[in-house]
Amino acid sequence: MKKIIPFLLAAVLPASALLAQSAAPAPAAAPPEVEEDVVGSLDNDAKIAIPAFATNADVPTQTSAGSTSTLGFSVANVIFADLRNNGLFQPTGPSSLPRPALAQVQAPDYGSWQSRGVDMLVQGYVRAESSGNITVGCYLYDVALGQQRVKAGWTVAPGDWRRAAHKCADLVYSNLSGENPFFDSRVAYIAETGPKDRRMKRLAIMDSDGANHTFLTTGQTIALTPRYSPDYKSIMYLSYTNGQPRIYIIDPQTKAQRLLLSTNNPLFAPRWSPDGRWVLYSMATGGNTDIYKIPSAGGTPIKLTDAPGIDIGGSFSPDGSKIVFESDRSGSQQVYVMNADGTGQRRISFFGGRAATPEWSPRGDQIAFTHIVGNLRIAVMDPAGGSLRYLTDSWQDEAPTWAPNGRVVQFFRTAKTSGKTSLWQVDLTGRNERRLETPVDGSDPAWGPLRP
Amino acid sequence: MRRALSREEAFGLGLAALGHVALAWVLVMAKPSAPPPPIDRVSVTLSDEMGAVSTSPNPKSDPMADKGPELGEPAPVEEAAPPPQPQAQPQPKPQPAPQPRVAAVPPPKPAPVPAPKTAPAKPQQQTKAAPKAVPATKTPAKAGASSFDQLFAKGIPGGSSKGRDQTSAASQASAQQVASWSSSINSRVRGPWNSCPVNGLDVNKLRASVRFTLDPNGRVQSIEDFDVTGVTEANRAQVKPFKDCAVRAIRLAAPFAGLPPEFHDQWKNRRLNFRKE
Amino acid sequence: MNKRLTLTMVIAAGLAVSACAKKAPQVLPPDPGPPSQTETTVSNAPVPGSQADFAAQMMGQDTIYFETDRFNIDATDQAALAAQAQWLMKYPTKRLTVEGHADERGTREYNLALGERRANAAKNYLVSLGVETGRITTVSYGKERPVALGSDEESWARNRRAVTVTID
Repeated sequence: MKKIIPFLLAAVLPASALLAQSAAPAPAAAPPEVEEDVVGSLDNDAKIAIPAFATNADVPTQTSAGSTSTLGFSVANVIFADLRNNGLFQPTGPSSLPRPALAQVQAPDYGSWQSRGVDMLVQGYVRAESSGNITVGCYLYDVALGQQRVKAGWTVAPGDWRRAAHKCADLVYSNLSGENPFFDSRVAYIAETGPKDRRMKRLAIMDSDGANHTFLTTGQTIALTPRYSPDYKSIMYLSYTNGQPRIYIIDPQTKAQRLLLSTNNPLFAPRWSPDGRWVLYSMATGGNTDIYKIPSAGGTPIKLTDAPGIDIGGSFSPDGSKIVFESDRSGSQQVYVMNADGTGQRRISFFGGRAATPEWSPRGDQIAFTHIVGNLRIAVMDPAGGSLRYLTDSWQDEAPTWAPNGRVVQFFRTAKTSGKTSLWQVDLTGRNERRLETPVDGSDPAWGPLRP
Repeated sequence: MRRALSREEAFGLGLAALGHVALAWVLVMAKPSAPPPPIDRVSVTLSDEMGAVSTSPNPKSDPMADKGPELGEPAPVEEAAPPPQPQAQPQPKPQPAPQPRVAAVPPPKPAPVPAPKTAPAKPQQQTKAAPKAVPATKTPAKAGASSFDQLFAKGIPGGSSKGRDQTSAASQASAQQVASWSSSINSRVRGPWNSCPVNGLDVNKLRASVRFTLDPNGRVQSIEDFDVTGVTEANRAQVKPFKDCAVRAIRLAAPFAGLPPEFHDQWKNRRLNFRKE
Repeated sequence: MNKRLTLTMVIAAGLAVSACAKKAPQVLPPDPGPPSQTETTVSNAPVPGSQADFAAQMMGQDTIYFETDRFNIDATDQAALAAQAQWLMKYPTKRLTVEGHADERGTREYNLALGERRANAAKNYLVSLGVETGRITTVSYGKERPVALGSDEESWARNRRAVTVTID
């Protein structure tokens, strides 16, 4: 026993020495890479400041906004409202911010903005040209990094000063979000007044933020379901002018109107193709409604559907190769897709209930529609009919229309019992649902493309 | 009728009585034995983080300065003494295990994600001010510091005034230290990551994995590799803003103070996986 | 002078004769009785063959009703259309419009087409009963012209209808 202990010690000691040596510093392996997760919130709190735009000289303008100094304030306010309503940022507008001097517009006082906790800064200037036109310069700065992100400028006629502001908001929005712009666009819709059984309905148009509002018809006859042409030069809509529903094309500048085509049959649901060269309409013969296509400049109609029942509506894919429409040939309203020549018709909505008013997103990746299961709700799906997502959840929401960038949707909401209608907007993630301000009630919104 | 004791019985009785008296005498007169010698106190680290490498200090090093114990919540390991050159603090080590673990391992506040609406603004302001460790509001004075602690803060009079080993004799940082550096970097990056707006369909599926290196001063030396996964048709347009926000967050969070230069090799290569949810 | 005398004598003779003519008749003419319906200055009764007459005569059968999303003519509808046809046969030159309607609980364009389908179904049935097809026009109002203003099943059922309106 006594001899074993020293032997064991002799064996253990060298082993521990070896261990100590292997634990010695200066490892032969490369320096380690340390990995960590950084998790942020989608409810981001990016603070973006939009102070009033500066000017080189405070002179009167031909705009509705007064002198260049007041105009600079109003331009910033339009941008502020665009970004606030969009919900992507937490903007602070010119009413709450000090007004930069003209020299600071291109050389911001970063320190002062940093001390206000601002992340991004939009600055700009307005300048009255001798021609009466207005030049607007727009600059976006990353305050924390202390560098400029993007800049641009536009010269517009005085009556278009709001467009320059929307262009600046679009520049900021698309630079920060990666999305295409959409603020510089117009909306056609139906303005409604009167009792539920005798509504007066007038065709109306406005900017995407509700400004520059105009009534285009008197309301003596019912006007329904308008559509802006892609070049904004015409609006197609449904009118009961002669006691029968017919499709008219109206020039928003002159208010001159003409019939799309003469027929003894009722016509519904006018639609433009994305390039403006074709028009879709739906015509009822003997109670059966089908979809037709006709050159917008006039010509021979082409019948696209002939199933018994109601085939109606239709919305082109952005590349013009396909059309999504609604049909009740299966026994209830559902959504179908076909090639632009009418071939290959197949149903894509299999959600239960009824599916109606399909609209193809200008980005091509989504189809918005009205899903009816008791209530009417705005929903989206992919063009194959999968990935159903609801954007709203109210008693009766219908007729979605897409913003030019395919990321925001407008629709109209009907109130139970009173039947009063209003225009609403929601983004594709279902957030930022908000009511649009219109002079009276509104329905059937139709969003035009981005203005060049 | 009383029976007389026999001679055997009397003898036995007497013997027993004598025995009882002797026992009683012994019990009364016995001295208490000396108390057992006190057990030497040895600090024990209850850790299931067993490093493969010994990180304990060299047992032959000079002892610590005889200072009063530091009561109260210790400063986090990464917080240096005010001078900008940070050094690893060996002081927390001899203390019982749970304390440094609490400070180092879990990600420090702000842990609840929606809560910090105002908090991220602060680190940004401080990046331009003097660099501070993230729980910058902690002062060096310990919470539970007593007057005793303060009396002996300078050490026992007559004792050795300083331990000669101010720097850790360990050759490798402990797992706890490594974790504390990571959480420090992470929390500084999260603020600017949160305040960079990226939103849209399927953005919650994006993952940006950014590999970068730091120089010994904690500044970003290079951003070397970028890998974005989770891209779908719906979020493709957000990939660039997502990446830009990740790089921006790293740049704004740097330089990372409180990282010991002597362990530079162990914290210089980093990979951060960004996501928003 | 002679002319004046002659004129006076003629007038006097006429007066005498007219006085003679007014004699109380032996047999009184029958009592006129209650005012007849055709005297519009006296009553509000519709002119026969007018839309008002048609509506009054139909007593609600100028309207037929439908189930949700349906456009078929059921037995009740058939009886109502038969009554309509009977009236229409009496006035063979009368033109008429069948208005098709839908309830509010559907989308606008589909409801326009559905209203047209209902109006057309009513028209076809009238034609099958002998009303000449050229007399009938159809128009759909979709959900634009409800008669019942509530948002409940009863109101919706009353709004899912096809109404026959004759053209004055």
